[in-house]
Amino acid sequence: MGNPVDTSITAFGKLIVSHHEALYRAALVLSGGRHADAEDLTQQTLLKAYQKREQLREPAAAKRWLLVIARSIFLKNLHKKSAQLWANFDPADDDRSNSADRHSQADRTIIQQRGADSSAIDYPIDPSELPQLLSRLDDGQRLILHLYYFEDLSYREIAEMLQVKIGTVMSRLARAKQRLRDLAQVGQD
Amino acid sequence: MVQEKSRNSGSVIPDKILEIAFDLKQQMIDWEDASTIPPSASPLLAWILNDPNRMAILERWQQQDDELRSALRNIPVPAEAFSRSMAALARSIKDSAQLPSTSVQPNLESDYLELVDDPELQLEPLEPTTRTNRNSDTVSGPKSDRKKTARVGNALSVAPTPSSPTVDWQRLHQKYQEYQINTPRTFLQYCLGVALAASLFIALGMGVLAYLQEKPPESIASLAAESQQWIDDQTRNVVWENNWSMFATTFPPCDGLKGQPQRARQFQSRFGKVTVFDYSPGESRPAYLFVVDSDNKFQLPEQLPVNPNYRRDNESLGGFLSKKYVYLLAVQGDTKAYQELLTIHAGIAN
Repeated sequence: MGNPVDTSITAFGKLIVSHHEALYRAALVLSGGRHADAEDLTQQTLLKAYQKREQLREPAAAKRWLLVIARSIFLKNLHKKSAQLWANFDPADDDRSNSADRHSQADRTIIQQRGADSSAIDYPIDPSELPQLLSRLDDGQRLILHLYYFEDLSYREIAEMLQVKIGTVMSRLARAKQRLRDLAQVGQD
Repeated sequence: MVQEKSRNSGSVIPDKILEIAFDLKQQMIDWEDASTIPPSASPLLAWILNDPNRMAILERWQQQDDELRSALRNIPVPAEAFSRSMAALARSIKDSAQLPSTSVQPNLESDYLELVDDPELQLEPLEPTTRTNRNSDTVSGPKSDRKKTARVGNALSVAPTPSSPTVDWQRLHQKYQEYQINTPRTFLQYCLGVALAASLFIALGMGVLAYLQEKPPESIASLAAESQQWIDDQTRNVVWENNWSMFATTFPPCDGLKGQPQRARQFQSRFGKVTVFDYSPGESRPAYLFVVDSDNKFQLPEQLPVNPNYRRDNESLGGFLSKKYVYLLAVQGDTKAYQELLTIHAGIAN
């Protein structure tokens, strides 16, 4: 049996110092790259974490715990459950051939160009440009990026959480990643 | 499916396949040995793993994934975000203390944060070393976006920032503990606390007991072994009825059974009233047919699976539901012969 978690405010302060940056970045992704909203979400998360700090049983899991709280608040602020973000998801959307229909006209042009030149090189994504790129993704896409890249959930875990097929998760995540790359390419072109 | 060529290669591999392959590759970490790989995944894995070019493409996908992960985890964080977060946290907790409270006990946490303004506290600025790796040149968004954080700015007057006094957390904590110790609790609070603790203890104990009693079998083989053992235990010292004409009228077997049991026995078990027919011919190993009241059928699957039937080598375990009875067959020996002997009408079996 491990040592009890230190719930003192001193320990909580250290926890914030350790994980604030990671939490802020995750909040920024969920908030569509808007810093003001990310700050609000971060602050709400920290307040909730402070109120519930005795629920943290494993100090090593503190970061994940904060991220889960942030995600929960994000969904609550949307007045939606995670599954509802996918309610309008068309199962036929699993087919990548339909993916262009969901993009803007500008994005469609990019994809058409990419199709014409399949040997086009990949453009590295500049972290400082990501906030702007994230603003072009919808809530569901940003949520899945958060679950996969910040909470480190597997496809299967995400599928179970969102109550969708694993193929849907894969397709949705791939589309979000591809869209980020496409938008990054536009910026560099 | 778009036959989109994979980037950086001349190979034509649909992206959909790459996604699936990538997922499989991720999952391979969890697969302890080849036997646990889903059969449907094996051909695709082999198709990829046996070709260096395909592996290279997959590796490229992995690299792209890593690059994006790295980019997301290195988004510049505005230098002032931390101080604003801390300020807002302190402010929020302080604000909560100003709300009218109907609880018996004061909001200690909020009162505690009020101590931020205590002039007796030797407030110290935050140590700059606690926040390293900050890019002060980072743009945190246009000023117009900062309306939502205006309220946060108000908190700066009482909250820790790199250039303003901050909270001596350790000292506050000590004061908080002293406050808790010195604050008498009401008798009602003690009663509620004891009741809550007792409830939790009882619930936990019941949960543990339930878990121990309902410990699921590890495999179908162990399930069969446990069931067979249970049968043997229940019938070891019982007095069997050998008179067919007598027990056929007392507890008749299922109409669809072809064979005639050589003996029978009825007894009470934790599953309810159980009738056991022994169909083993002569000196061979026993073949038991159980009949259990179906009202108890939902207690059965733990040890006695009704479906699907289990059969391995000389062991067989299975059953069927007929009318208001659950029939369960447990056999050790020539299972094929017993199954033929106990052939059930098609309309009844399973």
